[in-house]
Amino acid sequence: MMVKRLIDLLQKAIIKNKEMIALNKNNNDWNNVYKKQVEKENRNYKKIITALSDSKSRNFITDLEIIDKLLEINNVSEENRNDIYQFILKYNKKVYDYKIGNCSIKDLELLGENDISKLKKLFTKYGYDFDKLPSKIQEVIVDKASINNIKEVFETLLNNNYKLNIEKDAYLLMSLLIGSNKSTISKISKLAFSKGLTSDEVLTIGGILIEQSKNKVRSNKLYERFNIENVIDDGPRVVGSEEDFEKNVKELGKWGISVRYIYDRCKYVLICSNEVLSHNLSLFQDYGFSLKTKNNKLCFSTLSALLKYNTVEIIDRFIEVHPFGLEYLKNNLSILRQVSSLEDLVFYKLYYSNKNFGSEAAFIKIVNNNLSQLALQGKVSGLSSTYYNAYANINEDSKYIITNIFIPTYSRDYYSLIKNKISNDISATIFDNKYIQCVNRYSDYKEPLLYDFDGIRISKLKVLRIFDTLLKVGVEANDESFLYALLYNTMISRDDFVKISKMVKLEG
Amino acid sequence: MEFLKEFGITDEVIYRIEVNNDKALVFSFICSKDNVRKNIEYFESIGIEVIELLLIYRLEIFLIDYEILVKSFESFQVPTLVQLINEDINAVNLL
Repeated sequence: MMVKRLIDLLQKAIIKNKEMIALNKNNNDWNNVYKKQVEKENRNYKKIITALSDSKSRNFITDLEIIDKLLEINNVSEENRNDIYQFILKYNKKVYDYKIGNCSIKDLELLGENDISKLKKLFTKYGYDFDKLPSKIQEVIVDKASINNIKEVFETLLNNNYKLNIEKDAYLLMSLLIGSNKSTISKISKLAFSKGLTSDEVLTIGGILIEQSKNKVRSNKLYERFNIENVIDDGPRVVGSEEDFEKNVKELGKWGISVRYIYDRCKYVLICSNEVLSHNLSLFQDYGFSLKTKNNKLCFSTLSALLKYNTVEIIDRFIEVHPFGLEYLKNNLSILRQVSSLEDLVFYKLYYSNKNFGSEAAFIKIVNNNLSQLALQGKVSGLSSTYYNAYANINEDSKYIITNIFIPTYSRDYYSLIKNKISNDISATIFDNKYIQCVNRYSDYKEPLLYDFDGIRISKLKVLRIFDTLLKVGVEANDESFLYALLYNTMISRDDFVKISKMVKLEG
Repeated sequence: MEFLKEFGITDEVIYRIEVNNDKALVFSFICSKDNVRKNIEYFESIGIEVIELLLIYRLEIFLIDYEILVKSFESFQVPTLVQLINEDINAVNLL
C-alpha cells in the first residue's frame, strides 16, 4: 500500500514538474536557473519508481532526501512515512545481499502487500494455513522471504515427508522459509535418514536443515562471509547447524558412536559446535569417561557435558579436591556445564567441608535402582536457592582466608615457562623418568587417575602432563620441578605441602 | 526469549542462558516455546525452586517432550527427587 502511495506521489511530482517546464517554456530566466534542476529531479523520481516497481531491480535507492521532501510536501503521516522507509531499507538490504553474492536474482523478488494473497495460496497448496501463524511471524515471512524460495522449501519439505504443525512449529517454519533452501534440506535429510532418524525426529533439531553460514564468496575477496544471524539483527534469531551436524556425524562415527545412540540420549550433541565436540571427545577419552550407558537416560550426564568446552584443569581439580570428587564427577559430568573456573566457590566449599567435617559431609547418597549415586548438598553446590553462597561464610572475599590454602613458592617461575605450551600429548619417555617411577607406588590401585599420598589426592594425568611440559621446555628434572608438577593447581594446606614434599624427595 | 518473562525470569537470567549455552541449542529452545512453557509450569507445580539454574546450566531438559518428562518424574518419588534437585541440579541425571 505504502509503496503504491509513494509511486503515486512520485508520478504526480513528475507531472507537476513537466507542467512547470511547459509553463515556463518561454521564460528564459526560469529556464536558466531551474529547468535543469527540475529535469534532474524528474530523472531521480523515475529512477525510484523503476526500483520500486521492478521486483528484480538491482539498484540501491539512495535518494532519501528527495523522498523525505516529497512526503513532507504531501503531508504524509509519520506512521506511513516510517512504513515507506522500512520498505526502502528492506529493499536496499536485498540488493546488498545480491551484490555480495548472498542471494540469487530470484530472491530479489520482495513480497509486497499485493503478494500476500499469493503467499496464502502457496501455504494452502502445501497444507498450511498462513492465517494461523502468529502475526509477528507472518510479518517476518512477508518481510524477509522470497516467493520462489518459499515454493522450493515447501516442495522439498513435502518430498522428504516433513510435516510441521503450523502452531507448534511456527518459529521453525518461519526459520526454514527465510533461512533454508532446497539443496540444504535435501542434503541433510539424506544424511539424517541414512543414520536412522525419521523426519519427525529431524524436526526436533530442525536447525540442521538451515544453512550454517552463507559463505558464497565471490571471486572478489572483499566480500565477507555472511551469517544469517547477522542479517536479522533486530528481528528473530535463526541459527543454522547444517555444517556442524555433518561434521559431528562424521566425528561420532570415528569414535564408533551412532547418531541414533546420541539422538536417544542427548540429541543436542548432534548440533553443538564441532570444535567443542571434537575437543571434548578427546578429553573424555584421556580421562576414561565413557559415553556409553547401559541405562535408558532421559538426559545422560556425560553427553550433556559435551555441550560445553571443558578443560583439564577443572577435571583435575574435581579429582583432587575431595575423596568423592571423582566418583561424583563420573556420575555427574554435567557439573562441568556449571563450573568454569578454578576459582568457583564449589571447590573451596568441598575442600573446607572435607577438611573440617570429613568426606561424608558434602554429599547426599542416593540409592536408585540398586545403584548408589552421589548428589551435592545444596550448601556446598552453592546452586541451591536456599543456600547460595551461605556455607561457612565462604564467598569471593573470604574463600582464601577461611580455607587457609597454602600457595607454595619456588625458586623459579615455572608457570611462565610452560604457559601456552601445556599439551595433552604426553611423551612416552616420561614414564621412564625416575620421579614418575618413584611415585608409581602411590598410585591408587582402585582408581587409575589418582595418586594417593597418604590421603592427599593428586591427578596422575596432570602430573604427567605438567612434568612432561617442563622437561620439554628444558627444565631439569629435580625435586623442586617435580613438586611443582605434582602440586600444579592443587588446593593444599601448609602441613600437607610439607608432608608431600618429603614423600617425593629424591635428592640428598 | 522474551516469553520467559511470563515466568518472572529477568533479563539478567536470560542473558546468562544465552551466554552459557550453544547458540544452536538456544535456537532449538526458541523453536519449542510451547513445550518449554509446559515444562516450566510442571516444574513450578511440583515445587522445583531452581528453574533458573536449570535453564542456565541444563537448558536441554526443557526441550524434553512434556509427557515424557512428566512420566519420567513420576517413576520416582516426586517430592524426594524435587528436594534432591533443589539441592543439586545434577540430580536430574537420575531421570
